[in-house]
Amino acid sequence: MDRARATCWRVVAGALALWCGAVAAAQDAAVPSTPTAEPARAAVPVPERVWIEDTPNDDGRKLTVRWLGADGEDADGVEVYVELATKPDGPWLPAAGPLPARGAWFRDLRSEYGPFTPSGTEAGHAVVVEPLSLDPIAPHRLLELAMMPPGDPRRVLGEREVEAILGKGALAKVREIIAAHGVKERAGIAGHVEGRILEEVSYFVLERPWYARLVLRAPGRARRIVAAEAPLAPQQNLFNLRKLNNFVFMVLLSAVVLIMIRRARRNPDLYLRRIPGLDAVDEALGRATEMGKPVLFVHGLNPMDSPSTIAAVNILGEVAKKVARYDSQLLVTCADPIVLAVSQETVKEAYTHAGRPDAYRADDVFLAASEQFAYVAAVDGIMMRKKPAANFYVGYFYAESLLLAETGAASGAIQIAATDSFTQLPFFVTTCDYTLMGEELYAASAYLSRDPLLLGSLKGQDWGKAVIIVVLLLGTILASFDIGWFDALVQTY
Amino acid sequence: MLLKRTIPVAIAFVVGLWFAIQYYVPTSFSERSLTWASNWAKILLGFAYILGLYSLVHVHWQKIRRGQPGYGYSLLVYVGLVGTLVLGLSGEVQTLVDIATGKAHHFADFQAYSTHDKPIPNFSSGFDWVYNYVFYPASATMFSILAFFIASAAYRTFRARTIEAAFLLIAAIIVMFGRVPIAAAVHRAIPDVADWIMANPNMAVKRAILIGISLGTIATSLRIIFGIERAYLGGD
Amino acid sequence: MDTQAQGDTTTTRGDRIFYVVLTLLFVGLSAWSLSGETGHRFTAPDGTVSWLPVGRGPAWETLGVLVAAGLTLALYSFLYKDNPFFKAAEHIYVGVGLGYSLVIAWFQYIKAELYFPLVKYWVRDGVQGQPDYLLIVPLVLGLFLLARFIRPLQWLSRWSFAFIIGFGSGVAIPNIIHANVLQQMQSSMAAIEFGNVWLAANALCALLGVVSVLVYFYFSVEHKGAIGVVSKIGIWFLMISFGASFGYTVMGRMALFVGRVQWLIEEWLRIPLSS
Repeated sequence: MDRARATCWRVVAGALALWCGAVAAAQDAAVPSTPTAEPARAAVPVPERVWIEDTPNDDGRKLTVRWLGADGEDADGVEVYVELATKPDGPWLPAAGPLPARGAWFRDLRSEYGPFTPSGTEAGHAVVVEPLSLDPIAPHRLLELAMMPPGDPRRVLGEREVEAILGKGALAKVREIIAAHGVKERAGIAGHVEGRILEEVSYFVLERPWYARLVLRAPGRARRIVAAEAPLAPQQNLFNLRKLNNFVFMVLLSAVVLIMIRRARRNPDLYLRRIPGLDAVDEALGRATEMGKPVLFVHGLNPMDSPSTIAAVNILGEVAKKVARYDSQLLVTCADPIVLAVSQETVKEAYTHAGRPDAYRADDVFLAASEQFAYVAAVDGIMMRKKPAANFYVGYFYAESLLLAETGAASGAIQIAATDSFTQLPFFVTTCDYTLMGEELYAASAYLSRDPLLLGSLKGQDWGKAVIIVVLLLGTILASFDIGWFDALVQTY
Repeated sequence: MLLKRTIPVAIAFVVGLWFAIQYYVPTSFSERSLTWASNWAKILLGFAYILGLYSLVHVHWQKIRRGQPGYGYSLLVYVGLVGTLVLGLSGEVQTLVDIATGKAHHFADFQAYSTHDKPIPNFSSGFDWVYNYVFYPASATMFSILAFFIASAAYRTFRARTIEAAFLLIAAIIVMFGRVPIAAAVHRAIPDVADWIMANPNMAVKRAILIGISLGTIATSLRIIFGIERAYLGGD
Repeated sequence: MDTQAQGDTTTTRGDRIFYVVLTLLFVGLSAWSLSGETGHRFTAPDGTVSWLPVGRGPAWETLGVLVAAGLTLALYSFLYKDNPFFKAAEHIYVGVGLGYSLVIAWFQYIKAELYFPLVKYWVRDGVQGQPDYLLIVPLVLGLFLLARFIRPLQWLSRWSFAFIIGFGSGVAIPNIIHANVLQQMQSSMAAIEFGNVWLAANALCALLGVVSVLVYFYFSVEHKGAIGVVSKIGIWFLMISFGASFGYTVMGRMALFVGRVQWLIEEWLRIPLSS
């Protein structure tokens, strides 16, 4: 059975190869190839050297074909086609082209190589090719097949994983969807072989050597073919050098933060400037206790893996500890179920920490709603009905920010917002009593807890800002005097 | 202690460290690991919705059980919830019945495939109805209430007599008028000033805030990865 | 829950009048629109709008429009005060919203990411293909989340939290350096054109903005003296920027309301506003 299938595939592949060859021949025939008509014109110039290189910074799917020469004056009108094959004698798959032979240029090279573009490319040509993308089967065929109505014989019955020949010679594992027609039909509809999920293919790295050749064509002149020096298998790279500046920045900043945390462990007395919004937390909680009204903590919409939400949970822990000490009620509204579960755990722990485990009620930390504006309606309702004495809006907010904060202001609560959502900051600033802006959101848990380790990391952040300010000033000055290399340090690809 | 604290901290450390480094590693394993983890996070969210469902249902059930004033409204939550669930999942239930009665071969019928191997939900027209005539209009209405609230927020700023509020208000008025056609009729410089404010001070502040946020994010992430901040883990 | 759970429950005479007027308005206008001659608004696939006589459109759609219009008015009534109409609409909306999220969660998260690639092979015999056994990890972590229902096993959910939060933290670091540090720094380091006073002033202004706001965010240094002055400038920059963002958004928000009113007029009252 497997052999039969393999034979089928070979037939299909062979048919396609023949077809491609026929098309190519037809194209050649279409060109008025009358070399005698223009005897004055020289033959198409041939490059001095053609070779393949591994494209760096990738997962082993790309190759770079480079060549030198063949770009003199007699190269006018010459078009270069790059072809690839898995065997030295073909069949050849068109990989790139037509490319102009004249002039030096490097398609995609800088975006692939980043700042480490190899020297010498100024004088040559290079093109990045993806052998695996040369599959002749269009992925959209699958959709057509999958959309067949029930009862249609082409309906999909199941799926299986097979080894298939792709790109005429490349082996890859693909998942295959089996239609009611079975194998018979598959052979019959060559050109749109039924549903194979081609995106899966990209994960099967083919570390097999590829042969490359250039085909140079010009109207009225004989076609020339130049093979690349040696075959090459694309390699996976372990480090993306395009992201080197990012990496250096991460390592430096992480080191500074961790060193500052270490130093804080030894020397816990760190100065911290006042953050009025956080000083007001005690005032707000005291007021809530006096009035006998609850404190409302409103989470933003982002899910638990968003840094804003992680910071919000840390703040919630500190606020909950204080609330437990003040002996007032804390209501926490969430829009995301994982945030809900984490918040329950956090508040419970804070109450236990403050010696009031009995005061924790799981129902006080609840999912108000799961969708953006339903959340608004629910939280607005809570604010108008329970009239909390203090509202905290902490995390990342979207358009709901003003709907929440205005209602809260109208209900007469003290409002403290903490968000890193740049677009929503204006609305919190205008409607809340205190707003923690941007980075202050991330500083809040350290400020409230006064934990030396957390304060140490704040100090690390400050060092990061100092470095950035210096780099900015230096960069601006150097750029003003047309010194460009410094700018390259922060270039992203 | 080991199970309740050390292992979670270790999980956060290993996962966090790997995904901080993964960004710089272009191998196919590295890229696949990112896809895996994103899909796993979705699966976890799917499970967590059961917790969310319980939370909402329980809070409202308490109101109904105790007969608190306004508990009738809590019944409406159930009506909306059950109605939507029935309409949204009736096709799935039908398939289950078909499988049980032998009419269907497989739960995952062909409807489930698109090019990305993701299900094309076979929603009933009733679910579409709920979306089109309940969910969507309610969302659009809540969103549009902003038109009123933005006005009252502006008024609130107007009353605050500090120099900062004055800066805010003047910039707001200029930019707001700069964006309506009559502004140019009043004075042709107004749109230019508005554009200038958006392109210079506003953009500069945005950049500074984003840089600050990234430092905060990095420090917070490091504290999580190295287990310094573990409020999320709860107690022992 | 305390006795104030339902807030200000007193209903004044003004409130009663408001409720009656709102109800009459909705019922009256709905009846008027249903009896009207203008008929159904019908948008053809090519975008042309025509008006069908009443009775030609599907009844479910007519009912839908009435429900949507009622919800719209009920939610708007919150602008007057919290009231029974709003409460009813809010609670239905919350229920529908959660139902919607759950349906989406089933189709997009559980069925797509877990059932198809893994569970299906266990549920049915004879399914061809290979299950993706790696998905056992999220399956277990997901079940750990559900362990929150069992008090002695609640701690298991922390493993799942640790995965999610660790993943978020790790991914955030390099991505935020890319988007928020390098790219922002790159655009901040613009050359100052000495030849053009206006452009040079703009560039300096932007640079001052970035630096002063960064200085404002300094935590470990007292904002006094030179630092104090710069951070004060930073606050002014912040306020100008917030004002600008605020002003920039106003018209867009007004358009939302206009759009909603337009919908009410066209779809509910069936008064054609265009074409």
